[in-house]
Amino acid sequence: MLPSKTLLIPLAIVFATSLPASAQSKKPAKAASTKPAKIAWYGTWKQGLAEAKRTDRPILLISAAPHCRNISGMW
Amino acid sequence: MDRSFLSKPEVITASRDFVCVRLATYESKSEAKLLKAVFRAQSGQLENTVFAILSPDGKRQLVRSGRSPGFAFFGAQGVASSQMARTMNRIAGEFKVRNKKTKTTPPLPTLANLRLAVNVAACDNQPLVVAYSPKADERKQLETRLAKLAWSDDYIGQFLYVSVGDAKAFKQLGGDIKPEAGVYVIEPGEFGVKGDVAVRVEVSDDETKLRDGLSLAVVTHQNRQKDMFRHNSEGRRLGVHWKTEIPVTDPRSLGLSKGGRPGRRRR
Repeated sequence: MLPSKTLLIPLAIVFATSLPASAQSKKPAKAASTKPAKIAWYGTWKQGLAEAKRTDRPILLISAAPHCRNISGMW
Repeated sequence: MDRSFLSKPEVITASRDFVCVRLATYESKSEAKLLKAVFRAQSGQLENTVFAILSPDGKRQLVRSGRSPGFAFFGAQGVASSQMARTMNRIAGEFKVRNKKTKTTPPLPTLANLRLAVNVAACDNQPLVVAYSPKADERKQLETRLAKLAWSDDYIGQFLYVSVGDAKAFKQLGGDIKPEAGVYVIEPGEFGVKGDVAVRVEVSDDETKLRDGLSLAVVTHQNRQKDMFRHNSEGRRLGVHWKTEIPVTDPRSLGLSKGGRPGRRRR
């Protein structure tokens, strides 16, 4: 007789938690790659310019004030 | 800050061939001088936002500069951002970016200091990674280790970074943090003034633990939607006041007309 569905789910959980550490540590890395992609920004002109000169890449430059009427936390 | 262009997938993909620099307006005198030279606003003053695409030496403007990408790329929302991506791809082609494959990892892209970094992280609604050690060489090693992850496909653009050498800088976060050398992932408070330690990795921990720490921070990060009116109203009620390094000069923020005269504030 096959195990019922109510028994299969707890068995699956027991199996997953007994995975070797190396396999378990890979799981968070996969979760990270599911987040939407974003632009990677240099935060200072000095650092960005040095990298642009080093790699001969053009520069995408943005500046914005990190506050709205002196209330921080919002561009 | 512009959201209609910079969050579009095609623009993000195109940005990988560029060095992307985002400055905080009014937080550096020298950077303010550069920004004024890059975009001369009608008011004659440095204004809150600036956009430009520049040559690698930073001296030549490759598209029309302005307050936002909308100054250079026109049309309906999707059309303009596609135009921006196409232009960026064309520029990258002209500089033969993809033919120049650098073997070295770029440096860790850091913000100027912890105070500003927590604020920018709150604005971006992103976790902040702090490389801390009072020893310069140890801090440099942490930055190098983090850089490899920062530029990897799993983590690129997911965090903001700052390097800190003085333990006193952590006092502003609130709580009773007594920092020890290593990596801290900070969840910024709503107003970017305080923050909570979400993950801590010791300097002696190996790469697997460092990677797992960052992954945990990404997965557990709470995406907070902010409403400008409510945010400002609550901030004023709580007495939040961000002091800029140099005075704000945007006429719109000062309640002036574009010509600098008092007038009805443009919305």
